[in-house]
Amino acid sequence: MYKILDKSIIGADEMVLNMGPQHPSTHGVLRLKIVTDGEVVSHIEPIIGYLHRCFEKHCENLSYEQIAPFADRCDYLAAMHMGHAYAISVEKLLGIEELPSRVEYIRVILAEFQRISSHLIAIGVFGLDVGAITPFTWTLRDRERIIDLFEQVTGARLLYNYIWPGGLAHDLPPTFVNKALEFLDYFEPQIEEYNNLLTTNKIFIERSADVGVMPKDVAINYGVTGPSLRGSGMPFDLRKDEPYSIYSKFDFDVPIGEGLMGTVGDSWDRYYVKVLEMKESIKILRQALPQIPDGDVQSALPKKIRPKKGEIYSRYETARGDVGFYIRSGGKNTPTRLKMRSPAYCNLSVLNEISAGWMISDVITVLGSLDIVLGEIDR
Amino acid sequence: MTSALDYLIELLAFTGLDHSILVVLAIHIPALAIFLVMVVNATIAVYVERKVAAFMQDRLGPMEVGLFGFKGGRRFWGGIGQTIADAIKLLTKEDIVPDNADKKLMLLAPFIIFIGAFLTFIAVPFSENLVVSDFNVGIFYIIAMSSVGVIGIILAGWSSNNKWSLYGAMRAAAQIVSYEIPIGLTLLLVVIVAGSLNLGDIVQWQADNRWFIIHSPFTFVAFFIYFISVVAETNRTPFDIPEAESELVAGWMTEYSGFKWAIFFLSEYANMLIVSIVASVVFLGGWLSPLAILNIGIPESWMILDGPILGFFWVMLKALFLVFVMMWFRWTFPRLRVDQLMYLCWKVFIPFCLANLFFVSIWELISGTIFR
Amino acid sequence: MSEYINNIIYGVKSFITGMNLTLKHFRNKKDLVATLQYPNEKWPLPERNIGFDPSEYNVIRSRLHVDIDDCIGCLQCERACPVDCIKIDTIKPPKGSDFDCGKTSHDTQKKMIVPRFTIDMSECMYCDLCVHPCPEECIYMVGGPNEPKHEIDYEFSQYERHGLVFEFATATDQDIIDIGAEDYLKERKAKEEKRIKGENLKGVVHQEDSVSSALSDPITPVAAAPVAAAPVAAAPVAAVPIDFNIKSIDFIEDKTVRGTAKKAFMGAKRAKLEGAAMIDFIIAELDKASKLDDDIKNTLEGFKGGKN
Repeated sequence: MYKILDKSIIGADEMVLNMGPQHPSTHGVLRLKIVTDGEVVSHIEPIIGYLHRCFEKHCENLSYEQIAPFADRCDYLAAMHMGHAYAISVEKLLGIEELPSRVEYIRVILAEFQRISSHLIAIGVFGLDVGAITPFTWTLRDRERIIDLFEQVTGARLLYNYIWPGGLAHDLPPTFVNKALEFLDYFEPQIEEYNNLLTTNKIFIERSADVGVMPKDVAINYGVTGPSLRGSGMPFDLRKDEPYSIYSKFDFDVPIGEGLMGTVGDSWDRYYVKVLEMKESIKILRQALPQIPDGDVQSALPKKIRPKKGEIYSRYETARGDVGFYIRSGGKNTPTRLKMRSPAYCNLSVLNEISAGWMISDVITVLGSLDIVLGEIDR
Repeated sequence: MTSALDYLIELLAFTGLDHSILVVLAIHIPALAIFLVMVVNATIAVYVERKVAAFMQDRLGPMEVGLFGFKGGRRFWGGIGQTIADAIKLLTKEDIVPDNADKKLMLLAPFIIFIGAFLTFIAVPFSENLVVSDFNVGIFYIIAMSSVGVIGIILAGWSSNNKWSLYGAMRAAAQIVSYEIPIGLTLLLVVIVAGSLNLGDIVQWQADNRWFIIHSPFTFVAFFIYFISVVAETNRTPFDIPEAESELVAGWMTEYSGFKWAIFFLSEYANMLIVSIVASVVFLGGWLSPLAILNIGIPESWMILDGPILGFFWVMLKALFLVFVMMWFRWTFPRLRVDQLMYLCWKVFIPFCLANLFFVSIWELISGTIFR
Repeated sequence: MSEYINNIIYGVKSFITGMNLTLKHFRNKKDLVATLQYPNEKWPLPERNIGFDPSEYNVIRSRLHVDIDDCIGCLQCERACPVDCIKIDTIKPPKGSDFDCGKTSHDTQKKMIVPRFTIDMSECMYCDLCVHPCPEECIYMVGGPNEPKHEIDYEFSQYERHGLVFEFATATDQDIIDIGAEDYLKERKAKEEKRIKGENLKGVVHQEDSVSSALSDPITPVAAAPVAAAPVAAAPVAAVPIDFNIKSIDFIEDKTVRGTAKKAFMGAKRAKLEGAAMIDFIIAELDKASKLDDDIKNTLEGFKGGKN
């Protein structure tokens, strides 16, 4: 419950500014009620729900197979991750222990490509939020190539419905591996270009370093996960800490914010962690791509998904953080209850804590560095 | 240096009318010319800006709209009719005025901004004798007139009755008023050396000695301070905080649409041209060809590149290069924050300007006594 | 002070790096521009190194297409659809009828005809779920690897929203009558009339001129093809069994009576009674339960004549 005009927080000199839901940089239909004193912001209240689609209730009326495309639509910038997370949870519910290793390899490869593409958007849009337009188009240009790869595999460019509980919708097309390696060769130098244009730019550093500092304890208390948590110097990554799929086979690091340009946990760190994570994803891809085993990707696909009574909770590291699916089965082909823990929702809740006291421009910066997706927050 | 207005009055003298009537009649011709220059400048500059932006961002920009079926270059420089189509679209759009806006002031604001840019053009020389009126206080007049616009911006922001507009107007006022100081101080430095406020005299000084930008290390620094300050004064990225589209939606222009918004655009690009011409006249030798850059004793007969027509070419070349640099800035840099903008002005530029002023005076004194 | 100077030096350096980079992109536009001039250059253009050959795809999520000749009416795709955008009606020929529904290209004998197979592409979310269960592989997304079956159609724009409802069924009215389902036609006609009535109320102008071409094109949008008024009265009544099914009983208003009648209907069906015999059986049953009045009897008798 909140009041439109709360007299207790508006002093004589303060002004309530309504930012959004139609605003260029609230990353969708987020509305921020900002109490300002001149340029300085004293209180921020995010108001969500403009994109609410009753995802969880809707799932109770859909069979397990039919939920998969809707799960994709939650986080539309990392649809492959959501599909993977959902598939893992249903497999856990069904008790499928082992999948063909070809399935696991393909899943990991596509998930890492998805991580790169999602981080590319995050980086570009963060640049846009602080006023640099060119990095955005460059990152979109490179994301387009990843999407081309995805289209080759799945046929779709944004919402894939490719990873199904128990397997995959299709096998990889024969030319995929070469195309993917070609892309990696092309992409690695591009990261240096982004760094030269944006990351090390003095104005960019001035705008983002030391702004919106999120100390480790604040991040943990608010349940912040993903790159935002790692930006605060906490090396927590489900791929390392609770390895699902076959992540334990690969050698990669978990980059954390080190406060290179300012304090640990500032917006610049949260941004730079994403740049470093793209490099780590490339590392994983370089290991995984040459050693995809042969096999049938649909051999473990259940004929009918009708799990026994029971409930499970499974976690997954998406590009935005820790997504969790709680599914309770009543023995039918539809779940009795499905609950999704959305990472961006928890990440957004910290906004007031870390950006109150800064200026209006900094609220935008901090919001951009948290990298939220409204489809997932409102779901 | 004779001015275009004097020339016109002489030309019209055969009618035998009284001088005061002739002035009133003759003034309309340069006024029309200035308006045409503003319109053509905005049309071309918007097109070029979009193309520059596109190429820097690995895009193509407008490619489809042509003039009478001619689209321009097939691979890169197509779509030459885009700005004209946009202008027609803007003129035919509905003129939206918000309910609670102060309607009279809201209508007045774009015209004040336009008049600021328009009047500045009177003293801006396009070539040796191509200036509407040759003031003996040319620089002073340009500085004075170019700050008229800020009144319009504040009016626009206030009368729109929109919080974003108000923020934009307040930011713009603070920014423009602050950056007048480094601009004034850098131009003052030139005036000290050249000993005249008249732009013609300043160029003549450069013809006699050398271009100002390489006159001394201090004038070299002064040029960059001047240029960055005028970028800030024309509200261009990285100093576009008054209209920061990712923060304030469109700043003080949020509630404007159609024709009034087109006038804002016209004035913005006119201001870009004005400050670039002033920079090229004051620091880069104006209508002097690059041969005269150092004045190292090239014989007079070699100076075939100078002259009234080529002079126009040189002024515009230098000015348009500076306009291009402004666009280049815009598509490279992020935006500063309000306090950082003020920091840059008050804690970097103004101290440097004052130091510059001091050292240039000493430099002149010493070089005046030693190299006499 | 040194920090102040260092800041300025670092700033200038980084500005120069950035500006060099953008200038590089400005000057090398020949190699670096990534835009595709869409209507002029279409997408799979391998020489631009952007996009791939259509055969290299698993599937392209484009418009759904149905090879209706292969459809056996198993309704698997309708059930798989999460958004219910596929609507299928099927009619089984009655027992003993020698109506031939035809064979699919996989040599499967078809057991029913499909008088309606609509896909509302404005509702479709391209999830591909309907394609996989199809036993005859007759529903698929066009283009890509399915290019030989149907060419790609990713720009299927329409002027009206109705136009995105694609009708694939080719069963003619004569087929439906042959199979003995006139009331299906009637129902369909009544629905259509209701729709036209509603549109008239709304003031929507109905497109009459597209009726003639309605059945010649298998994928004509439904909106443009109102069901051609079938000459029901002229249909050879004697050649088909009496038009009487469980829905015909709905005219009885009293609930308990209707329930008894329906029970009797099912009983008659189990006893393999047909037509007039079935109606007689129902009347007898109702009489037994002393729920029969004259109105009901007359109406039921009326069915024997083939009227409703």
